[in-house]
Amino acid sequence: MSELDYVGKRILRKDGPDKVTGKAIYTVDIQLKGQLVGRILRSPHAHARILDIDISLALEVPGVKAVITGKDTLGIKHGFVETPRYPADQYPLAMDKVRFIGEEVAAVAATDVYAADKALSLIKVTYESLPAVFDPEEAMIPGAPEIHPSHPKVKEDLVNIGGKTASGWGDVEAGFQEADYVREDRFESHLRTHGFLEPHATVASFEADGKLNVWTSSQGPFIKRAKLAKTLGLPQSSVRVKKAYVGGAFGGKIDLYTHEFCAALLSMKTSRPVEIIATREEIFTAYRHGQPMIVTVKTGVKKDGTIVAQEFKTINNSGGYRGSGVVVIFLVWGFAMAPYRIPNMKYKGYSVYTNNPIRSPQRGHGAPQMRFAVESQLDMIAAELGISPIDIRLKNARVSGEMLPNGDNVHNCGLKDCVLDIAKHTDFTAKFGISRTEKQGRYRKGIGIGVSAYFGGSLIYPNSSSVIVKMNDDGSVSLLTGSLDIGQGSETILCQIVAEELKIPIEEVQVFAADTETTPVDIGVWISGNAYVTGNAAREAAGDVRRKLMTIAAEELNADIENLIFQNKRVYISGQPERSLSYEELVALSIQKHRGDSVIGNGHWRTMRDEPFHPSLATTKGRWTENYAFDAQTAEVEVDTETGNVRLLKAVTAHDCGFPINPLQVEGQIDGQVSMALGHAFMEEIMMEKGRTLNPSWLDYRMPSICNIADSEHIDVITERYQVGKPYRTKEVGEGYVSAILAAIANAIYNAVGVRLFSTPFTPEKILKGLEKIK
Amino acid sequence: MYLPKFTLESPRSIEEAVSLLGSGEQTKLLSGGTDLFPRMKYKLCSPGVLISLKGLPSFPPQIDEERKLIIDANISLTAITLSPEILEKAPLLALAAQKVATREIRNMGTLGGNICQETRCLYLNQTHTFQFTEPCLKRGGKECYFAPKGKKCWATFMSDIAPTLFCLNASVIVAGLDGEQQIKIEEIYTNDSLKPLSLKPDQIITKIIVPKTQSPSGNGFAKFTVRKTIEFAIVNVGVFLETEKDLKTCKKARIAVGAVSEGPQRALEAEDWLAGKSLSKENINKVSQKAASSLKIIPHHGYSKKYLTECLKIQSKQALNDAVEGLADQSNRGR
Repeated sequence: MSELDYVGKRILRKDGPDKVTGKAIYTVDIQLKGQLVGRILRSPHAHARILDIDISLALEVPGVKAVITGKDTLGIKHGFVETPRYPADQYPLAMDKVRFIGEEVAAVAATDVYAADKALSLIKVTYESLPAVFDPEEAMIPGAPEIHPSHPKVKEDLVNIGGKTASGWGDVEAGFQEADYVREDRFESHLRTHGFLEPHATVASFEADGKLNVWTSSQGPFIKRAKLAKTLGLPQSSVRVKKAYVGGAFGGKIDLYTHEFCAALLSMKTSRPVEIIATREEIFTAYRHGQPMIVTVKTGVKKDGTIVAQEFKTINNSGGYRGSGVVVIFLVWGFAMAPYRIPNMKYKGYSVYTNNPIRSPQRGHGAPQMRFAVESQLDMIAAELGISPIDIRLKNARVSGEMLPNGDNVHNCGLKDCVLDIAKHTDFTAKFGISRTEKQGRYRKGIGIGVSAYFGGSLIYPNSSSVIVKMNDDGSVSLLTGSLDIGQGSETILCQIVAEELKIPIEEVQVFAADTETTPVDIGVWISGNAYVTGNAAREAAGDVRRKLMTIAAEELNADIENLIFQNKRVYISGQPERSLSYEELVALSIQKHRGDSVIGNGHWRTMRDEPFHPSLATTKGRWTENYAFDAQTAEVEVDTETGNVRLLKAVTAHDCGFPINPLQVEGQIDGQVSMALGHAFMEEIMMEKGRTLNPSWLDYRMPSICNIADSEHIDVITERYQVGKPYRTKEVGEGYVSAILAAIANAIYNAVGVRLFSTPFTPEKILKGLEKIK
Repeated sequence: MYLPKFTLESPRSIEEAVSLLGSGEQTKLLSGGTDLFPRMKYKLCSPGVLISLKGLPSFPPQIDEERKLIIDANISLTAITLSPEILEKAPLLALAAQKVATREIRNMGTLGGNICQETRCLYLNQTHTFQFTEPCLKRGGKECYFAPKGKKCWATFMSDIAPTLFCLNASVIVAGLDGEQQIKIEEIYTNDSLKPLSLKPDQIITKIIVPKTQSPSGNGFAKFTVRKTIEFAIVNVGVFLETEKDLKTCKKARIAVGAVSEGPQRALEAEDWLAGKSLSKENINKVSQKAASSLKIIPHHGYSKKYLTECLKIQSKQALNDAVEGLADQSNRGR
């Protein structure tokens, strides 16, 4: 095995210079000739029947070129999930009913935003208001206003159920009988949003030849193409989604959004390009946020802390349509079962329709909610049994080679090492052991731990990635990938892999990305699969090129393939560096002697080689992925007992991410997730009242500022390795680390002042209330 | 979000500005614009004419022959924090200015603009295109979203700087069609959320005057926020303590509180109680408690009254302690 030159190195981002010099072109920078401005009319009702829409006055506004309503559409529904069990449930523009405040009812294209907004104000919609319900537990009770009929396969006496996940193994009742200690707790996670800095934006241009060109801020062009084509009634070959830089997404830009559909349809109506840029206020009030969730967990343990049974009930608040609600209730089951051995488990999760805006994935997609519950409760159990938080976690942590109940193998699992290393690094036991009676004065410190596991690259459309690597005449390389760099650094790591396989300077790998017409299909940059799925596809494609170069070199140098060495754009015979050929020469020779073969490699990859489908969302049956990442995180906090303010002083992340393809990016991901979790823990909250958002601005939705960021340290637990020419199983680093740290913060607050928190965020008001209670 | 269309006037003198201001209903003064422009983008007001104060003659902070400090109302908040005259004669004002928003906003925002800002409320400070479409009281409607049964507006006055001017016993010079007049800072506030300022439509604040103080004095300003930056206060407290020569006995205290009601409030009961007493830890705790329990507190921006009361007590104590510490430093330096 040769030494690695590019993979595993702290290589700077390919997109960095474009971004810091302002050269990067984002969707909002795209200005085409004759481009119109599109704006969207939204429902002021949380639940209402649409009786009539009169657009006649709007059409008369000077500058207005088109007005569309549901009647102008084909009435084809779409959804985050579109399966036989969970068919699409949302029209791109409301047809019969509106189900949340802000739902899209009509759209206008005009020469400027003033005309467009004037036209919106002149569209007269007659509504028949219907009773609405906002709380999921109220919405489930028979008699609640019906938003959609309950799922036909859910036979319980409940209403507004969008979907249910039920799973389990062993015998929980017997498990609880056998347990020495059983406790049940309820945890609630609040509503947050992604906070991407680039707003949702789309430019659509329907050309005279019938081609619809689309630039849109997204997490991958192929799913957008599929859903646009479907809802617009166009062949996929007539829709081309092109690359623009993306200013963050965090799960909030995956499937079809109405503004994308409207920009496209307005362009088709007007034969002019149409841009729609969401205002920040629209994003805060009417777009999709993350998933608030209620988690009830009952756990039975033996005296030594061994978990014998665990029973879960989860309820999400999916909003007016299914969104990712039926996915999150499935995923949280996985986040419950992955890190610890649970001999007997019972799980049921309900996704409930309410008259709130729709929910989407948000970094971690259920993991923070589930880990907050489990890890908080585990600390309570440990305290009750007189066991240390470290020991109880070590006692239950999974180890390498373990099979999960769904048939997945965790393969190399560094969870125990993560816990051990972090305990040592932070001097956890000593700090945790300081009794609260010793902690006096206004400011009191505490330490807490949490663990988490996260999967990567599970099957969702388009299910796989292909990559093409082409040699150029000058010996440089072009990499064609459908993967979209949304700021997470995907283009850089793909270049590193190609550079490594071909031993070519990274500057000589040019990337052409994320164009549905010219780049191969890609799984998309969500579900944490890029480094593993697209990365392996890039490795295969580069390997294909490598083999071709090797064959030609062997012929020309009259050498055995095994004796050839690749180095710095040359191939030479081992021990005889003077007998070499440059890539430039090899490409020329290939064309001359292999009937014009210009040396193009292709590669493809899929998470599960032999599983045809995604596991069942309803029953959890079916395998999921080949790679589980594990981590342990500690939080050290300082509680101001007078104001109730808590500061995260230091976060430490011990992570088994397989191996880091680019350690610099891994650290960036960890730091970013720690600060995102800090916002989740202390300050970020969408305040909603009857379906309306009270704080739709950066001023009142409080994301952490530089003044709040905590010190973040990293401990690598390397469990895999990269070898040229061999498949690898690196694990995800982009989502898992928002979870354990949240629980660690809650546990640290308890360690500091004895206040146990059962809901996020951990506001000063809650801390003061807690302190008052225990006085 | 974009600004509605408007005409911009740039008068070169106060007289010209006043006559432009008095000439129409649809006019508004534009100083830094950090309060006005967001309100215009939210369509909370759509003035047809903006009268910019940028072209008026300006002057740096001055100390006159009576040792009074005279400040141009158009001074930027950043300039306040850098002025040697203000740092010497009214350091409390600089302490507060330093805590407003962010550096970028302080560069634009002005003293006059800050003390004349509009009251705020979560329901109010957003566009009303599809949320809260029925106008609330402050937008000319009949109901309040915050307290649906009431017939009163509950928007709060969030200025960080106004309370410190209360502490400093400041006055303002107001120019209008009737000429100039000097009025006490307290008098420009109405304690009415709908119309927080008593100024007439043609009046402009041109100067702020801070009288000289005889005794040794200590200053404290506390602003409580979640993020420590950019936000408006959960509560803010200004403290100005005049002491006897021993620097330990309070001769007169002025304590003013902002962000929790329709206008800045003086904690008069607490001030009276502290006068003549020693500035001991115990007394500071007591006077903070008094301030918190005697003032009007409106729950705002999602914070409950109970919590705000607690915050007010703690922040009063913080500001008082800072003032006392400042006095101790003076004492140590032998002044």
